[in-house]
Amino acid sequence: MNRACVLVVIIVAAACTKSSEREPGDFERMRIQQRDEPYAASGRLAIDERMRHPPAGTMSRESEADSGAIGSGTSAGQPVTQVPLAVTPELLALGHEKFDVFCAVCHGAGGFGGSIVAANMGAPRPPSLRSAAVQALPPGFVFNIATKGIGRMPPYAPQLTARERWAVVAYLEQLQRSTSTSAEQREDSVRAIGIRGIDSTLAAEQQR
Amino acid sequence: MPALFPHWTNTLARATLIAVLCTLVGVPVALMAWVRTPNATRQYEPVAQPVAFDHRIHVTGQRIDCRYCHYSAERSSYAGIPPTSVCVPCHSTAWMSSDVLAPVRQSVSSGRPLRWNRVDALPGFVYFNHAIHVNKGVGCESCHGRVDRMAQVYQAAPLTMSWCVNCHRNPAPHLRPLSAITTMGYVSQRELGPQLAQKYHVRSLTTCTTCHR
Repeated sequence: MNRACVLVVIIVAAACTKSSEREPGDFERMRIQQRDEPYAASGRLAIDERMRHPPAGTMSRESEADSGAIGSGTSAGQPVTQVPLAVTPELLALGHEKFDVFCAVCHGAGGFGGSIVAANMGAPRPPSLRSAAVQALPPGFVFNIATKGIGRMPPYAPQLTARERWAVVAYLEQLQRSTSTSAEQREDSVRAIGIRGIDSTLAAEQQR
Repeated sequence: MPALFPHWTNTLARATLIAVLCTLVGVPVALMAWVRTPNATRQYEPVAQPVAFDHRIHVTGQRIDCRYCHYSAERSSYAGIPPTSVCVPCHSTAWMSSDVLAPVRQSVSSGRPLRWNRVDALPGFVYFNHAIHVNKGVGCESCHGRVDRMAQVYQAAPLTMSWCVNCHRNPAPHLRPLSAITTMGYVSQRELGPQLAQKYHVRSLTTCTTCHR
């Protein structure tokens, strides 16, 4: 009888942990799981982030940075003079989309160098992309500006893949060739459709 | 021989039975109703952040697209918190010396990322993927609400399973053209939904393994 009691106590005690070892959310152990979330902070490592940086001097296998003209924008040390990808309507559409998100913020949707951000930025202002000087730049040079940044412009390699940056360059070339300077393009705007959305709701609210 | 119990104990016995039944049913029902209220889901509750970042200024005021900062939303399962290096180019002149941006300056000098607090937290057993929603026509606004009007971001949707499944059963009315994916205040067009569902190959996915692994 006594042995049976001891056995029961041992079995029950095996399920115990010290209260200090229990996480506060222990009642929710499915909800809060023991796995690392991206962007989460970590108390365990010398560095705060759970997402790890690649070791210095290494690059990922997927990186396009050094893979010929498409990755570097240069050929034999000189910036390439043509977009090294097939300029298809799909590529231009992609370039249009990315231009509106990442470039138009400062350079304006039409590339005239005017936007709300640019107006609030102070000198030096972002230049117009429609000027003769910018139009004369070879595509490989423009690609490298998008990759590495220039002056106050930050590098956009983290945001855009090489293909996306080439798409932006191809779209910019198309934009520079276009003679249409509609009010919408001239407008200090980021994204015409989004702005129309915001403006129409603002107008509706003011009417109410 | 007189009765052992007086007559009113019959009523007491019946009342007790009813009360026990009501408790057995009522308490779980009340708890289930409670977890669906905004009190329990933390809906509409602004989350304090280390930097008083105002989305109204950046989205409505400066007309910056959501994806300028949350650029991994289209290709990753996480929309992404922008690194401090995204803030700095604009703010190197604008407001950089203000007290509001003190944590940003600290992050720049120390090289340590800002510790933003999570607003839309899903349970660990839900595997949500931003990219598939954004690329198939579910706009930012559909789940995150009018971020362009939020001084402090709060959770706009209840994020309960019934809320997710509601759209998963019939996604078409919630779809918008990809060109309007970040538009705030998008007015949905009834007849456009089924067309977009066909165009983007959107299916109703309601199997457990869609979200749970």
